[in-house]
Amino acid sequence: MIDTIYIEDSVRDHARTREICNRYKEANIIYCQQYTEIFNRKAQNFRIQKQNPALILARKFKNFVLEAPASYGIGGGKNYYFSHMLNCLYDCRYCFLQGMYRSAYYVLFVNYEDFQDGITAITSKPGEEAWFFTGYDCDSLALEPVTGFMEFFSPFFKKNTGAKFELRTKSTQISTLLSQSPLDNCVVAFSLSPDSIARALEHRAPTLEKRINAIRKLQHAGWKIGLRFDPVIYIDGYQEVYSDFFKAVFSKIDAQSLHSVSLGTFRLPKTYFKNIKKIFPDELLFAGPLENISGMVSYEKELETQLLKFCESNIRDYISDKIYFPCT
Amino acid sequence: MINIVCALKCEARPLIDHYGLQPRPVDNIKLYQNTKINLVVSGVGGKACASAVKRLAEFQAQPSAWLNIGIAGHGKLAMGTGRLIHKITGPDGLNWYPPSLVLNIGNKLSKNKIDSISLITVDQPEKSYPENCAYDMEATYFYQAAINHQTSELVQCYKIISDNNCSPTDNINAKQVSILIESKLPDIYNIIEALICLHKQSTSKLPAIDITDMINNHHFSHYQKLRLVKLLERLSLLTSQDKVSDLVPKLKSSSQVLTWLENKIKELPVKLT
Repeated sequence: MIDTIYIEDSVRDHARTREICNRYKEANIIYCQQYTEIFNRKAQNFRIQKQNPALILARKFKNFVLEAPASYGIGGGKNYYFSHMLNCLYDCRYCFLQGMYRSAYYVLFVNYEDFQDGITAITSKPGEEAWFFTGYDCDSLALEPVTGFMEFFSPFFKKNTGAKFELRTKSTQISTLLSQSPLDNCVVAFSLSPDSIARALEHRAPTLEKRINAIRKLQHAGWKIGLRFDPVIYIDGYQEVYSDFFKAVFSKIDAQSLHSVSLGTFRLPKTYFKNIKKIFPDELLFAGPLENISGMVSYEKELETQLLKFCESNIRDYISDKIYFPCT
Repeated sequence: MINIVCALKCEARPLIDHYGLQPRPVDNIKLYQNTKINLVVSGVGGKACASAVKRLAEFQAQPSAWLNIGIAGHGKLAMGTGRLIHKITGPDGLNWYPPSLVLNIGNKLSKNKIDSISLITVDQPEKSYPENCAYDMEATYFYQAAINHQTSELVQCYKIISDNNCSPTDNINAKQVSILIESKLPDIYNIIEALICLHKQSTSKLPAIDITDMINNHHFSHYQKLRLVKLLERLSLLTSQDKVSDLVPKLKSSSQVLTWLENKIKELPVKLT
């Protein structure tokens, strides 16, 4: 799967680097001074690179934990996010990462311990409840067999009961979670879309059915589950597509034990949208009824309101208002 | 289309013969070409190479993929070994990383994988090979110049080892160089095919929109022209038709054309496939 690994000089001898290189013995190893020499350089084609991304192993030096954007949150106090990895295994056409980064290569910051110190620095201060989101710049679980992210962070989450964590994912890589007792302060949040939309836009991601099976297994094991219907996509006949979808999802999982459900429509900052459209000029999603309002590209207001209202009223048939969080 | 840059005529000769490239008179560059390959003989050294890349790029209407083919020295590798280059260090110490994606494209290449190595570009021939990498005199300048005109995935260097600790640079002659390059024609063929394949994939799939007739019939301001192209592109994508300007009826003014297009697009079903 990964046949080229770039290694920053600073992590050449890091134990996690050695583990990953052992896993990919056939990979071409190329050393570099800083990951940015490769990741941030000009003249890169995200679309070509996405066919076969290289892995870059690097060290993060600062800004381990950042405040989450205002719209992020599921009812908690202060919201933060941290990214042990940049870029995603999947190739979802609506994803902002395509417009944010020049490169499609995966960057893995192997110094996990420093992220933990960053979290501890926040949680050790007395104050309101803090939520920590992973899966903002990558899928939290998709590369688990390579990164060992949850294997390493689970004991930390378990110890830091004062902090709450969300793993955002579309992945079915849940064996690390199933091999341990569920963590009371951890929510596994699955992004879900109707099957036809997932097939058209969520390339390389597990099918809806597989994601639902993963949710069922985790619920059965006692893990808290979040559902993220975000982004909701406008298509002709969305009413039938989405009502069938919600019906199917909520008939297969235990809605009563859900931790949270959030809903948001397709939206991208204008600069990212322009970048992505340049990479995928032939993508029908971007030829849809979109408009730019104050630097954010989203569906024309009237359509967006209709779409949100429809989905919201459907979802509320299955869950209580207390666990519903619209994304704005 | 692919642009190949060789420093020496003896490096280019086997390629010219194999691909039946014909000389083409172009000012200041020694250009040979057929329908899919442009080959330029740049002369030795970085400045000559960068200058040849610049001139060839200026001569082309559409950007092509780029490939630098030439000889290099290496302390350990045997003469005649061919390698793609995955890291180039320039005389100034700066590093460049040609993406190695091209190694893995296409069945032929994955079956006959071509290994890659690091390379240092030097301004004078290197005779002691202090690092475990290849040494040449052009790759840095080639790469820096070519990525001004093309995305880095489509800019590659392929080097054939011509000298090493057992056979120093003084032993190299033109006939030998041609033989070394000729022996690697199968690898070169695979790299060329892979680059051409990648180049096709990287090119926009939207058909070119011709607005000549429309702007001859009506006056469109600069902003209106931009809007017109965007609407026609969108209509083309949503209807899967190339010549969408033919769909527009005869109307009295440019603003009527734009309004008609906006309404037409609104009527179309919103779909993803």
